[in-house]
Formats: sequence, C-alpha cells, structure tokens
Amino acid sequence: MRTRGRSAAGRPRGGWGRRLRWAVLIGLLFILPVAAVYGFWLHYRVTTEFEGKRWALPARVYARPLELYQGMRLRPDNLELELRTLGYRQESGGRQPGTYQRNGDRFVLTTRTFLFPDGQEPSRTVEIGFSGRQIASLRSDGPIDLVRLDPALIGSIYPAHHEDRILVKLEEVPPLLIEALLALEDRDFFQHRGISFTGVARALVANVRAGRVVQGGSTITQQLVKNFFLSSERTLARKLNEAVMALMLEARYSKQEILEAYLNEVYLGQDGRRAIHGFGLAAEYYFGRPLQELQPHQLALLAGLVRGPSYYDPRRHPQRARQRRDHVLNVLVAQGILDSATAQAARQHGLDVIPRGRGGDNRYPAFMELVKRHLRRDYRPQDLTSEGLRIFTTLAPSVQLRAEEALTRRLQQWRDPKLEGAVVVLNVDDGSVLALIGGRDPRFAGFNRALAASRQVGSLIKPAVYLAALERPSQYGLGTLLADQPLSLRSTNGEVWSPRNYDGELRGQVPLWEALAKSYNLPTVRLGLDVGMRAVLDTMVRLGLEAPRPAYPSLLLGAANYTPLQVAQMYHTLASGGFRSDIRAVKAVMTADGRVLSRYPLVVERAFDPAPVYLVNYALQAAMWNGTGRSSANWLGPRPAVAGKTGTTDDTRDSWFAGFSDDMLAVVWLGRDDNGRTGLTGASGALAVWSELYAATDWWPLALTPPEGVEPLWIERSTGLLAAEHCNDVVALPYVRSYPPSAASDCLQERGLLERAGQWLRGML
Amino acid sequence: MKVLLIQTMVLASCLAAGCASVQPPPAPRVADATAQPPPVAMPASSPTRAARPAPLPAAARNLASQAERASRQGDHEVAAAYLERALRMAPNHPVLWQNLAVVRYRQHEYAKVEGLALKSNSLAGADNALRAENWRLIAEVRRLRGDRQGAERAYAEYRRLAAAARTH
Repeated sequence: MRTRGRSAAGRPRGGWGRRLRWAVLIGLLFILPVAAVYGFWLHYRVTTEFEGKRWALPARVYARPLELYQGMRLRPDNLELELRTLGYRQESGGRQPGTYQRNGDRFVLTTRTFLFPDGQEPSRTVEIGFSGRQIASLRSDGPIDLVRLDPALIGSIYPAHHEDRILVKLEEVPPLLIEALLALEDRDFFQHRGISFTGVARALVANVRAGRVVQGGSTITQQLVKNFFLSSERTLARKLNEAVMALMLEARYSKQEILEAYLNEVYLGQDGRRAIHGFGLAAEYYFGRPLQELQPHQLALLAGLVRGPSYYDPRRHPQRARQRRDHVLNVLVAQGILDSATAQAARQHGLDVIPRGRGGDNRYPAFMELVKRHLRRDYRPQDLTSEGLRIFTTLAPSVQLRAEEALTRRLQQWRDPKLEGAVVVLNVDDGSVLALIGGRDPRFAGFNRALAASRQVGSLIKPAVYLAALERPSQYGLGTLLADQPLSLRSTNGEVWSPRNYDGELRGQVPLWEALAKSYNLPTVRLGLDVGMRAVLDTMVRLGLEAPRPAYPSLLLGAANYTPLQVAQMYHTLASGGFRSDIRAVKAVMTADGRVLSRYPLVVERAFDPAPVYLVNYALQAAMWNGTGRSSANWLGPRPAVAGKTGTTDDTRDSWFAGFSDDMLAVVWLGRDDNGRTGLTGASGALAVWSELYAATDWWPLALTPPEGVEPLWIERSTGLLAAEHCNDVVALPYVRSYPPSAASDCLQERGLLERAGQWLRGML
Repeated sequence: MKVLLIQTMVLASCLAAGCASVQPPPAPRVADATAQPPPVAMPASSPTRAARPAPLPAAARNLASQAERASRQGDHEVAAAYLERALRMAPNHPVLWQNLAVVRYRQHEYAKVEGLALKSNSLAGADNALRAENWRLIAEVRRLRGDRQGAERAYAEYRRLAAAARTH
C-alpha cells in the first residue's frame, strides 16, 4: 500500500477526481477478484462438465448373438422372432444392414457390423434356406458356413440419477438429422461464437408475428450448456451465466466437438424413472434400431422432439407428434435440404414408433437381476453405471419369448390369479442361462421366484437317491427289484412317519427303473435307507445342491427347499453326463473401447462316473415314455427324445417339472406365494408349460449314448435276474458290464442243461 | 522339457494337425437294440429320430482351426472363445473338448484341464488314441499340481490305451 500511495502522490491532485479515482480503484480491487473467481468457476464447471464426468455411461447388456450355420436346428418362425427382437426391419431385398426379407422359408438379411470380444464381425448380406426346422443352406456371394448376427441389446445398468444414453460419434450421425437440427434450432451455428444476435432477432420477429413463442433464440451451444446444468428456471442471472459459459465453450472447443456433445446430451424423453438422453438412445427407445438405420421420417420426428420431448411425445400424443414431424419436413424442403418428393414419401409414413418397453430397458427383468448378481462379484456398482462397459450375456431371446408365451398361455387357461410361476432354461453343454422368468408377469421386475423362491421340491429329488444307489453297481442295477410295501419310521422324538405312494396302491415288488420312472414313493424311501442318508446327501452335494442339515428320511421324498435355479443346477449335472459346471449368465465384459476386461469361461468338473448318470437318465427318459411325464406326448408326440421328472408336494402346493433334451434343460415351477393349494400336480401343471415350451423351440433330441463299459442285458422282469432274449417276460436294460445281476433266471439254467445235453449228444455220435 | 514334449505331442496330434481333420466321433459302442421289447427300448438306438449329426459342421471345424491359429499366436483366450462357439454347434465332439483342454494347458490353467479332458474321454467311445492323449494330459497336469500318485495312475491309463491304439 505504501508504494501505491507514493505513486499516487506523484499524480496531479484534485478534490472530486481524486476521490472518484480512488473509489473506482478500490471498487475494482474488490470486483475484479470476485469476477475472476466467478469466471474461473464458470469455466471450471463448463469444462469439467464437457470433458470429465460429462457422461457417466451405463453398462450395455447384450443377449447372446445368434450364430447361423448349415445344419442348425432353427425353425423359420424363430429366426424371424430373433430378427424382430434385434429391430431388423422387413424390407424388400434385405440389402441394408438391419433389414431382412422373408419369402416362405427363404430369408435374405443383412447383418450389422459389431465388435465382439473375439473380434469384429463385418456386415454381410446372407441368403438362408430352410429344410423343415433346420438351416439347409447359407449363401453370401457363394456358400458360407457361418454367420453371426449382432446381439440384441437387452438392457443397461444406469446410475442413480437415471440418465441413460448411447454415445454416438459425429460421423455416425445421419447428415439429414444434423441439417434438420441446425435448420430448426440454430441456423448460424457455424458462424456465431456461442450466442447469436441474429438468431435472437429472428426468433423475436417470428414470435411477435405468431403472437406466441414459436422459436427460441438460444444457440445450440447455449442449449448444450442448459442441458449440462438441467434446470428450467428462467432468471436473468441464469441467462447471463448460460451466455458466458457458451462463449467460453466456443472459445475452447471446436464446432464439431460442441455439436457431438449436443447430440449426445440433449434430453429427448422419459421412460419411467429413466431419462432418455441423446439421439443414439432415442433411436433405440422410439424405434428399436440404431440411429444410423433411421429413415427421413424417423429422423424428422427426432429432430422435432428437441423442442418439447413430453409435449410432442409420439406415444402419448401421436397426433401432435405427427404434425410436428410434418412441419419439420416442410422446413427441410423450404431450406432446400430435402427434395419435395422424398418429403412427400416421408409424410406418407406412420410414426413407426415401437410400443413402450419393447426396445426398452426392462424387458427381461428376471434375467437382468441374475446378470447383475453375477457382475457384483467382480465389479463395483460405480464401474457398472459409469464406464460404458459392454456386458455379453447368454440370454437367447427367442427361447425367452417362447418360454414367456408358454407360461402366460397356460396361466390364462388355469384362471387362478394367485398362481405364480418361474422358468429356468439352460444350455446343457456349458450351463449358460438361455431364459429366465421370475413370475406370472415376465415384464414385472418384482419378486424373482426363479432365484429367490425356495420351495419344497418333492419327487424332483428322487434322481439323487437312485444315483446314489446306481453308483454301487455291485448292489443295484436298473432291473433290481425294490419292495413296494408299507413302512413306518419312528424318529428319535417318537414321531412316526408313514409315507404312501401317490396313488395309494401297493405293487409288492417293482424294478428300480420303473420305481423312478413312475415316481413310486415307498420303493424310493427303502432304497434311500438302504444306501444310507449319508450317501444320498453326498450325491446331492455333488449334483450341485446344498445339503440340508439335519437330514431326515423325509428328504428322500423331497422334503427340502430349493429355488428353481438350484434345481436347474442339479439337473444340469445329470443332463451333462455327470459333469458339473457353474451356471453362467455372463460370458464376457468389454470396455467401451473394445478391451476385454473379463471372461467367464466354460469350466467342467467331473462329479460322477458316466455310467450311473447314464442309467439314471435312462430311467428319466422312461419317465417321459411311459412314466409320470408321458402326457408330454400331447405336445411332443409319443416317445419324445427327452428325459425328465415331475415333482408335486403335499396338497398340490408346488407343481414342478425338470427335463432336458440333448442340448436344452428347463425347470418349471408353479405355486402360490402364500403356499396355498394349486390343484396342479407336476404332470398337470409344470409339465404342460414345459411341453409347450419344448414344442415351440428348437433343440436336439436326447441321444443317450451308453458310456464305456455299459451294455444292454436281458433281464427277467419279475425276478430282476439275468435272462436271454428267448425267455419269457424279459426286458433289455443297460447294465454295467462287469456287474450283471448276481444270479441267472431259471430260463437260462434250462438252456444250459439243453446245451450240455446237446454236447453230450454230439459226443455220442 | 517334459512339459514341452507333452505340449508338442498333444498339439501335434490335435491342434496343429487334427483340428482341420477332426475325426467324427466314434459310433456308440452298444450294439443295435432295435429288437428289444418295450416298455423301454434302448434309447441309443431309437431309430425314429436323428441324433445330432456325427460329422462336425463345417462352421465348427472352421472355428476350431481359427482357434488353433489364435492359440499358436499365444492368444489363448480368443482361442478358447472360438472353441466354445464350436462346442455350441457340436457339443458331443470329443476332439473339441480336448482342444479346449490343450488351450487351458498352454495357458497354465492346470486346474481347468482335467475336467475338460475327462469330458472329452466321456464322449470318445472307442477312440483309444484320443483317450490316451487325454490321459497323458491329465497325468501331466496332475504332476504339475503335485499329485504324484494321481499322475502315476493317469500315466498307466495312458500307456494302456496307447498300446491298445497301436494294436488297432
């Protein structure tokens, strides 16, 4: 201060002038830092917004890609269903990416290019010919053997503030959209420096002429700033801030950068709590297709939405939206951007928006919950909601939709509004989840029964008992006779348990395979007690179930609670021949720029010898042919090439079915949340849903191949003894070769006598 | 040295040469049982339905050779991804499972090898040469994981099957 005082002392003195100068100086001393701090703060906000946390990108979740190859099992209708979930448009020729043409059983389609964790898949035009339910030919300028479609986007994991977007690059945006936006919102965009006085003047004139607000004077840059700090207050201070920040943005960034940011930032709609930001997501949200594939009438609609996403909402106010769209088309013609013939053609189109929720986010809430549960093991929530990760899952959309149809249709027929259901469908070969339904309304993201409803499994547990027995081939084979007679067990606290067969009958003795195929309770309890609870529990654990503690003999008839997903794990081990795999819903996670962060590979572990598992599966196939599952023939024809098991609990509280083909396993549960009666058995309830699902999907028939050391033997049915083809009352049953039945039937012994007699006769000659 | 030997031998027999010429899986060993009476005919012979095709679809074969190329360049994860896609098309093909076991072996993911090799064996039927290779692979990973007795048993299996394969 002293130096300043001294230099001031050298200046000419004057009364008022000096005082004023001092006042200004002191004023500036205060104002300048405040202005500087304020300016710096604005600058900081706008640049961090622009560069830093600008877009917390939700993780994108994809279904499994459909791979088409010659010989593949797939019916034409299911291919079309897959194409529709991908948003492919039926268009003559099918030559544009994302379009297809179907003539009966012939398809021409053009795939979209897509970056997979194992490489880029280029766009290709392919001709597909079917022969029945199989792909017979695949051509793309000559025969090809494989084409992989892009995977369907099935959801995103977005953060707490519910802003969702799909980023687009400027060069990916159709030029028509950009020209339309500039024509509507900011004609001088490439000339002004952030604020446009001609724009304001033009808007003023237009508004005065119209007598209301028809044009805004804000430039695109100002709108971008406004969108960054979403707030609708209209104060002068706010306008000033906006203007200053717009100038700052323009000074620092190129027009292209600002335009790209605008295209990704602008607010374009509301889907429940999810805010739709940017044209990339808006294209998916309104049309179910990528932005690049939109046609002029669709682009015009989107461009027109900017002015009022809720006022012009094409789903809520189609009339208004259509007027707005046609107005945009007029502007485009007037500006010389679109020729009038194209505009006329565009006006002929309907709005073309897909129903809400179809291209949307929560189409498969039960499966998405499983995906999130898997990802939580390895990723922090903030990574999932902000890094734009790409999640590759195992969902098969056509299987999912067929399962939903099957469940919904059956539930409608039963007319019990309290009846709930859950479905799990797995791919047998690698344990991946193809479909998951958590309740009677598959779109409702509520209680997910497939993962969380732990219910009594009833007879579904029986294969574990029989497997434990058949692991001891010296004691048990499929033909071994089991006693079907009453029994009572007294527990340590004196309670008596007297199980009965479902039909109340007693059959004396039944062969082991038949006891499982027909789900007889008494032979099962005896068998379980013979091999011992410990062996049964051990088998359950190796099948992939958690063993209940303590375990009572009633466990042998399924007095234990498991979720449909856990049941699926158990049957998966059977279906895959005794090899256990972890159930997978996620295959890989990739960063936004294409780097693979994690893979969840196929791991198999041998839990059982193949032979006993084969024998159990054989009996489970018999269950479908002439046991408890035989009503599946109503859908699948007699003797379907599948295996499975029904489960019914006391008073029909739970109706279960678990069954598999060679490549697909499905578990269906039906019941009520209040655990009340359903009136449905496993066969009349869950099996019907299961069969309907299998009738509508494409799978390979179960071809049980006897493993090394297993061969068919002739067994006398009434005794379980070794016999021969010529004997009476015999069946062929697979047996472990080194452990045939310990004794032979009289029939064989008679033949032995005859043979010896024959030798003796020969000896005489 | 032994690791290297095994690696070259297994790969020579399956990846380098075999993937392009993967053998169709052997026919089921149990004889035709069409003559057998109800109620339970032998499912293996159910003649009314075609089982999944025995010959490898061309698409799966190509994926297997792409896997081989990727693995040779050290890109084992991509190789495994290709093989998983091939398995989706031909899941009962023992050679594909074995190839996946070899890829895991090359990645030193020894814990994953045995299950895959056993899965291959469970589908290999009477293909003694393939089963011998799988047992050799199992023996090697058991040895590397410190299970000497298990390795010995696996080597014994290998020698038995290799001898059987030679006499054929």
